[in-house]
Amino acid sequence: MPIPVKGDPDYVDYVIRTARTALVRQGVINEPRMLFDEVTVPGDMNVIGYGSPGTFVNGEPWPLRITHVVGAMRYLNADGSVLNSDLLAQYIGLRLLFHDQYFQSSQFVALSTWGNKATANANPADQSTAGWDFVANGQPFVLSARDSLVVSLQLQVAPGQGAAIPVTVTFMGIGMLTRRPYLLSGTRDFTSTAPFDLSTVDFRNDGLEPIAITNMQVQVAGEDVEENPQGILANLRMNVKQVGNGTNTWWFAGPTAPVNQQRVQANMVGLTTGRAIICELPGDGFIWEPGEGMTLQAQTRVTLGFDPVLCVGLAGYIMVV
Amino acid sequence: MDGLIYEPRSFWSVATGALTSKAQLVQVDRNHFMNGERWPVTIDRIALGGVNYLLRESAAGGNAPSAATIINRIGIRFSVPQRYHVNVGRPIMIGSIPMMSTGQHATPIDTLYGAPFTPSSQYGQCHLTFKKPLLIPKNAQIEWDLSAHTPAAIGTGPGANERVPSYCEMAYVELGGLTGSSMRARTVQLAAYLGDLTPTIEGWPYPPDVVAAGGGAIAPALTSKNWWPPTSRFPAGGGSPDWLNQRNTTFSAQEATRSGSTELVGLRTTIPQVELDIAFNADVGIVEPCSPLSMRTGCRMRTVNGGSSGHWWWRPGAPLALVFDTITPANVIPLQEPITLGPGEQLNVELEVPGIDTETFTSNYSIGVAFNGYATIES
Repeated sequence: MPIPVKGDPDYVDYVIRTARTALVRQGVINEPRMLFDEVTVPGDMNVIGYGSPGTFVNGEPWPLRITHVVGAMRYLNADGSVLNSDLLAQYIGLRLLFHDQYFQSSQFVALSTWGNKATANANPADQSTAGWDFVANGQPFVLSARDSLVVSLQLQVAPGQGAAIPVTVTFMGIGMLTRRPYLLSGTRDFTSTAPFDLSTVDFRNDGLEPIAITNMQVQVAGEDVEENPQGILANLRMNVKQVGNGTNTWWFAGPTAPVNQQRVQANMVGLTTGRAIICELPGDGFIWEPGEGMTLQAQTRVTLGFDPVLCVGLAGYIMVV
Repeated sequence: MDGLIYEPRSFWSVATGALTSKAQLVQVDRNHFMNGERWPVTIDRIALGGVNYLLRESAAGGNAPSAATIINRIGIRFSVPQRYHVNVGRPIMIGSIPMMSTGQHATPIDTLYGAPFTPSSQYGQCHLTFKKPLLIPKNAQIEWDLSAHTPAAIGTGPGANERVPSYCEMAYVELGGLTGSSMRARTVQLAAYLGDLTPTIEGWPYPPDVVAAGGGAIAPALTSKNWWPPTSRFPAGGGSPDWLNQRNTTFSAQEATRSGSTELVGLRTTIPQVELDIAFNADVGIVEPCSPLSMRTGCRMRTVNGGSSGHWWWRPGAPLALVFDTITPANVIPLQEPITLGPGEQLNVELEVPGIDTETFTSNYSIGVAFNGYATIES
């Protein structure tokens, strides 16, 4: 049966129905997840860069369904300098190792070749926004009455002296009783690289009904003193968790070595619209029981004078059964 | 399994000619849109693009009609004879017909190698995802060739005689295995076509590019007088570029077809042409990006020992960007209602090209049209 899309008469019914239970397994609670790694790719094309061990492993006590592989270049190179080019996605190959079998090929296949989903946004906002439609890409989740979301943000590079970078995160959903739409949004001007949690008041479900959350959108505007209003989303890191019901666990789990990354680079959440390369897995994707996982390897295909960093994420949702 | 095999198909053509001071109505060659096979072909997408232009965009006041952006001025009208006209009135501007996202990201000025330049494409992608999986029986094979492409001949500025190689990573996507899917990929070096550029020559569907008349040439390191150079063939043959240390057999390390049938769900190409873009921008300026090579490279494919057994999926030479239309630099229009062409049936396609000030501009139009879908073949 085809999955309804926005505008179809049965779309709202479908969202509420699937928010209550997982598509693949009967879950009590379902929440978005992304396991992400950031692998330093040696500038020498004959040397392989290895991912952080244990990063792509389901570390929670419930099954995890992976629906997408996401890839993007990190905003900062290994030496901390800014990478001014996403073009390296054409030159950096990757492969994943699963039970001694390579995915998707024993060769290093360029990140660009992995992508099978057209996600480009309107050009004026292509670098500054990312959107994740939880319904079309897996599973809406329930924000119960009086629950809230913690949205933790951090810039990688601070704006210039006296300037600020406005960052906005918005969630959209449908009331499960009234079927009315909801928009929950928080914003902050960042002036440094200090991490900051947006106010949970902005994301609190103050109503009398649970909300089926269907979308998340992130936007970074240009520095408020600059002429260019478009910011660079890759400069932002973020993480989210639900407080109240739900698992109360951070959605995005990253590597612990060589650096403990607590937030994912924000352009990685663009499963629906954005600038990251998105590979939608066929069928049900991977369903990992606790402890199952993969390892990551990457290699540049041209010699570079520096060591870029490749961000790779495995996105989907956890099914509390 | 319904006992049927679904093979990709495309009816395509490139309309070419000189721009004139008055608008022209161009009847695209009807023979190119006839189903000459014995199986029905279902069309569900139309891909259109300005193909074979060296420029993707032109600077304001520059060679305005001499870039792929000319597609914004082209109208289309088409009909299925004996059945219906999709539009009977004036041709509709292509850009005004509802299109699907084709994944073309913004290309900001880049400084990867120091000097700023505008990339032709952000990720060099040209991908096709099949609507229905293609079943490849055991021992069957797919032949996949890329053509040579138009030599990037441009002005006489610095870098005009640089030799700039370009590559293409070609990949099959299969279902099955522990991970649900896998890829078989290899990288080939693309060749610039140095044969006869006369449009009428067999096997050369594109005219010489209008900007190419300028003088010096950036010739890629690999050139060919053969429209189908053996180095651009997958999987048989093909020179393995040293830069990857690949052997010709590397791609088949996980030979999925050995154990039985394979379900093929997509084909992907990535053409990194950063070096070519940099050299090109050094000559024409960073405001005039080079067009992606996928709009200047033809392809041909067929299934051997299975499916339609030897029938080309489309007339050989189809521009990659037109037939690999899931992620592509071309404009893609999804049809609300698919069109099924029985054997012998054909489409009638007309294009409206604008009039221009011929005293200021001397230019040609080169518009690619492809009606894409799949053939339904009894197995």
